[in-house]
Amino acid sequence: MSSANMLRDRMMNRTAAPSSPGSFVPQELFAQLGSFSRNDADACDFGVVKLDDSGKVVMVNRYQSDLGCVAVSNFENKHYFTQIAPCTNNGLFFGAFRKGVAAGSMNITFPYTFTFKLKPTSVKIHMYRDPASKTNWVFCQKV
Amino acid sequence: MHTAINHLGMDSATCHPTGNPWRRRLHASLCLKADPLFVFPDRIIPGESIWRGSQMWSEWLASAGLMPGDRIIIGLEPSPAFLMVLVAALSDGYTVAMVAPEQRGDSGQLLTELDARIFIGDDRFASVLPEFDGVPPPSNCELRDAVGRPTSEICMLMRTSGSSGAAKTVALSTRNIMTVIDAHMPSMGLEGAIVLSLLPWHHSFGLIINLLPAIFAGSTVVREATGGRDPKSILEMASIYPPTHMSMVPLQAERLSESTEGLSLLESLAGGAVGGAPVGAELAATLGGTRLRAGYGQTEASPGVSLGEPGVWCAGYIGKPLGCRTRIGEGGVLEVCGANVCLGHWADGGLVRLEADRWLNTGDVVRPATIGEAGGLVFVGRVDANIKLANGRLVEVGRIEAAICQRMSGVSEAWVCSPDGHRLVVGVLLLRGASVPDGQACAACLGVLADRFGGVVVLDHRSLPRTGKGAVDRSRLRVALQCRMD
Repeated sequence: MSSANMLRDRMMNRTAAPSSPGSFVPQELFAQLGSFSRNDADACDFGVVKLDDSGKVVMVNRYQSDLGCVAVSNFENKHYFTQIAPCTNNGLFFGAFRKGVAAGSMNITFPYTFTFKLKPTSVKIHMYRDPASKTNWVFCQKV
Repeated sequence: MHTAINHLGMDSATCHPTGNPWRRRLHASLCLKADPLFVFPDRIIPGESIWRGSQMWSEWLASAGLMPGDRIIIGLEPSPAFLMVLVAALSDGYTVAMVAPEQRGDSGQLLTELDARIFIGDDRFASVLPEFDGVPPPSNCELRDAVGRPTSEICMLMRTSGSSGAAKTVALSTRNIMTVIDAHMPSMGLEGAIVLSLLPWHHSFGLIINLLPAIFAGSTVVREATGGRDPKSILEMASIYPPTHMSMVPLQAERLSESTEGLSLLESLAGGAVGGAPVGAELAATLGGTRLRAGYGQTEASPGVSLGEPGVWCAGYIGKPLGCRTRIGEGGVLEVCGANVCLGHWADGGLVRLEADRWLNTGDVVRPATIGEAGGLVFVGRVDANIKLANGRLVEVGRIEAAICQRMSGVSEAWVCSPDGHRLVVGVLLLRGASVPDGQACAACLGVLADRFGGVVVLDHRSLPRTGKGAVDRSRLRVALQCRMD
């Protein structure tokens, strides 16, 4: 891991942690991730994507599916960074994910811009690895 | 798969490059791309989203009634909106007029001067304001009726900084700009680079030498919030996103080099150019320990004329000619010829087209460099004797000298020099019996530059350095004044 990426991560960690006011994800959600069901995810008013360690989508909630106009069935089992959201396939986004998985620890938030329905849209991203369940999550909220 | 890709709007069916070289290159660099990535203080946006936003602007501008060759003024701060509008305007063949943020208040006057149809800015003076995400607003606006014809042959209208003479609006063609980008990019090593962007994007150096090559190379472009004015902010951003490349004016390099952290930053860079003003001896010695290059050009040359090798520096060094021919003309003035030399300039509401194969008189006096085997050129001074300070500001010495002679009794002649690129030292010849001029009064004659006043030196007429024609030799006078001040 280059020093550049390490420092990027430092920045992203500093901008928001789960308990910080900068995160849109409720604090209590993090304790439930080991048993977080599809129903739980669908109840969230922000995007929830669960990824395996390679970046493949294990679960996506309805909010995220609706946001991108992508059916859940077309979302799951695809690689998030290369097939679903190729504009995240860069050092900052996918690089941070890989680093987090390798380190067994990931808790970063940053602003990003997706293109939903052909329109650039500002979002907040929170990438988190649950240490207990060893599961990876991308939370996304429209700004 | 198709619908999955549509999640990010990456439907390749909507990506149609055309014969416009800008559209072809920008499409290849941005459409479906996660890199280049643009990092602003409040948001991060990948190339794909810039491309999609530009497509929205393309539709918006066309539906408003704009035609290729119509003139569009961009008065936006560096932002996603700036990038989207720029990409749309270049791709669709509009003539893009760049204006500085401080000029935006004159939008009505600018529209008239540039005979432009629309002013896209981010304040109330603009014809249209982008939305938060950088995209166009839902409704169209009324266009100004142009008096003159469309100018498809002009790609960009750029105001010169006035650092090499009176400010004017230069007309650059696509060929002018592409020539410089293509000549410079192979030397820049921008693939995979993290570029900390300090220079203004409405100036030719910041846009054509710094931003556009980074886009074409797929770099990460991190925009520093103060536009390079605050070294602390630069260092803060550099600690978050350690840059591999930075281009800057000498003053920015000098300010950074004053701290250990700043010096370490300069030494850590893999590349970048320092240009826009002459580099003094002290800074040249510092830059000799870095991989930064000397860059030289003028907006009239799109603005690339010469580039140095990494870490090769001496006072005034401007590198070796690149992508154009150069010669040293009468009086040591550098002249440039090539596809980088501008199409013409904008005056009285229209294009004044100049001969394509002409030699551009830069007004800069140069001499061949003697730095080992490096070759290249060294800047000696401006032929018109005006002074370019380290921050790029032009000091019109004639007016100041006239004011000193007029306001200060006992002064017969005066010369203003800057021995170090920062201070302004005044040399005077006194009338017989006159007393040494008061420093404060002399400083007052410098007007807004009074805080630059570095002292007044009384000269002896007999020892004034002079040229063969009898004129005072300002270059030697500057050295003499420096010795006296030291």
